[in-house]
Amino acid sequence: MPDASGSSVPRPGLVTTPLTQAYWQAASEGRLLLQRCLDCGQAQHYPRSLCAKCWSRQVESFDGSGRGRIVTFTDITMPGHPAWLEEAPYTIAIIELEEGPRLLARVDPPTAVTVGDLVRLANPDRDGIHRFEVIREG
Amino acid sequence: MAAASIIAASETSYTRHPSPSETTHRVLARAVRDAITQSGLDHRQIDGFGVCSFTLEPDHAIDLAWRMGLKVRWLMQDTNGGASAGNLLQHAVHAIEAGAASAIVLVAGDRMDAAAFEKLVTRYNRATEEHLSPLPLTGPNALFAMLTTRQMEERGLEPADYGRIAVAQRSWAGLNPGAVYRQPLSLEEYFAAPMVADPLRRYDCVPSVTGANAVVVVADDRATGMPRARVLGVTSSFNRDDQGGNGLVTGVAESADAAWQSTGVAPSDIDVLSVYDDYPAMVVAQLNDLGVVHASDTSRFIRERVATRDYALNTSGGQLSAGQAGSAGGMHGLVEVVRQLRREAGDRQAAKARIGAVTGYGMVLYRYGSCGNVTVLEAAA
Repeated sequence: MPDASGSSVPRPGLVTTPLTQAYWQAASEGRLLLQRCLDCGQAQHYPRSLCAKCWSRQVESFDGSGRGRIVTFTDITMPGHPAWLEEAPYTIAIIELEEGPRLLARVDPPTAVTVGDLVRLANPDRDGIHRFEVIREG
Repeated sequence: MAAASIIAASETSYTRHPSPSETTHRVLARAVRDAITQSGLDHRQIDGFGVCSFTLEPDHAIDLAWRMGLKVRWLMQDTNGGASAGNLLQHAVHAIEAGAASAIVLVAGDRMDAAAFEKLVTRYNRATEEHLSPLPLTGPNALFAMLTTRQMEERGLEPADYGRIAVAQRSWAGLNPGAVYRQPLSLEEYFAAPMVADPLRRYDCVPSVTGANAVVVVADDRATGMPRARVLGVTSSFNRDDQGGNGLVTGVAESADAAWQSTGVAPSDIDVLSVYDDYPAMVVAQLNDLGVVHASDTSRFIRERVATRDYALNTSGGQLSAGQAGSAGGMHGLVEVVRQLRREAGDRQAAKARIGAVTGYGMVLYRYGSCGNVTVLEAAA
């Protein structure tokens, strides 16, 4: 279990591979890259070298709408890594995107989310990672 | 079929904080030695060896065999964490059926200190490293918190239902000298514990320990007259839904269908059951997947059969109270059911222990575990 000295612990760095470099570059620019299969039309997240449904290698990246719905979420009080203690409490959710795929992402404002909330992509966090925000009606 | 039987099952002492001199090699070797001694065999009679360990690296099964002086003709290493025991056993049974080996020892375990745990959770796989850690989402607690929320909604369960599972398992642990947490836990204490990731509190989250488990598997006709657990069947499922669902139905569901069909055993025949319990929600999911209780009847079953310990479920205290020794998590439940079937379970011995079942579950790829298996065992002597 992490202790209270967590803030001095280095954060796990962002790791990219040739396959995900463009994805994280887009994230830092506030865009969400998804993939679409040119043969069967399936949209997928996260980036792969083939369509996981029909195995076509004809997959292209496109900018997702960034809109989706909260499927489930949690407010994290005790992060699994001590480096994130200073961030707590914060909210992580599974978001079903308009295009179909589901992704895990941070949602703001913290601890104010419910299942079914509509969300949209917000400005990336200070590490250049996707961040979503709840769309409040009216 | 019953071509193979488990004639010995060992568990090293589990420790929350390993001594500096403890190593993964040593703890695995202890479990292996204990199991072989218990089997009455000599280590020179062992001709098959299977290993699962997260922290053995850079060594592999062959390095461990060499260090222990085990000379074998069948060797395997499995990487599937909580599903590794079932997976190793499935292959071991096939090896014995095919004549590739006649006496196999399977071992799983880890030296799990804070540094090893941190490395494991941040670099569990590529998806964790690339897509979860930066969110920031490290370790499985938050993922299973989300799954628990979804499960409560879909199955009409309340936080207290999960608490009753944790409390019941702690009561079982009180009867198991090997469990790391044995002092009684009340539902009030469960609710008073700190929140980790809503709705999971401290006692919903499995405690990481250092330790190892091992079993000895032999051809059944070699074991006549020995108290043993005959392997009636082992069935597995991998990547059932590409991580595209809710995770509320696990690979245990398909494995169970196949198990009941191939063994002729029905869920209602089970006398003792170990389900993989990294979180109470997964106990619920697998009880449903096995067909032990219908999803709509879960809350009643927990109150009337689990909380009362009327049903022999996770009688060691499970991982939630006995501890999760890294990749030994799946073998912990197997060892407990073998002990029950061999009537070696001491104060927690189930009165009737003829048919046993064990589930394995594990390997979170992105959002939930992708591997599930079911082992069906029968007591024989």
